[in-house]
Amino acid sequence: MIEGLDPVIHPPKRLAAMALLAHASDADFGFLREHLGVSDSDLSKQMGALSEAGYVEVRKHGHGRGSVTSFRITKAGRKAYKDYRRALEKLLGGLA
Amino acid sequence: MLSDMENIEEIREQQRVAERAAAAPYVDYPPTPFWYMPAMGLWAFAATVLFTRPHTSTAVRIVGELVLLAAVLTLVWWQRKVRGVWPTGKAPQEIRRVMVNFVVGVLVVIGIVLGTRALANAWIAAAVAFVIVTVGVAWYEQAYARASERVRERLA
Repeated sequence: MIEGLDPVIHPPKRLAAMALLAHASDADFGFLREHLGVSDSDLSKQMGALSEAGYVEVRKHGHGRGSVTSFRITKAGRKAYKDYRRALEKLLGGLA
Repeated sequence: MLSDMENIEEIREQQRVAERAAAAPYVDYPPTPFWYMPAMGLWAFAATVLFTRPHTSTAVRIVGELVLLAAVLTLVWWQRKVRGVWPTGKAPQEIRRVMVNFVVGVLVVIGIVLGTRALANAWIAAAVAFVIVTVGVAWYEQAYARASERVRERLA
């Protein structure tokens, strides 16, 4: 991994999830799974890591088969994502 | 040197991943159902009748406004449910252009409907509103789909 980048966001699936949530009020589990092209368990694992870092919050609506899980980026998550994008730009400027 | 090249490629790939994902709430959506366009036309028909018909009682007007507002809120709720996401923030450039055209289109439609109302009765103005809103929304949906396709191609 390139030095200076947030290791929580750096894996491409998590970066994609953060970028998507930074441009949405919230997103359902199914939408994220389709966009990221991952399995249910993989998405749960990636979102669990982001949630643990305090970058996303998880919400569950309804009960049983009709229940929907959605995710929303937190203030800390938005800042971490912006910092990450800024760090990418800076690194690219320094290397190019 | 090779390490720098690898790093540059990795950073660029990370940027592409982020840009594709950032555009997804705007460009990944299910097909618009056939009833959506005439439903919008009906809403415009009802709004025109409610707001331009003379001698409408205050009670009827208030109930009508609440029904129209409830229809808008239901539409927003339905859109969020079927899309699985609600986009916010800066839209991709291609989509922004279509959105600006939409706002201009709404103003033109209001102008045409009010102009028709000045020359004819409320029912004729409402019929005009129904037709141009139905056709206008169909045009907007097609333009939005084409813009989404261009975004997907650019970020592929």
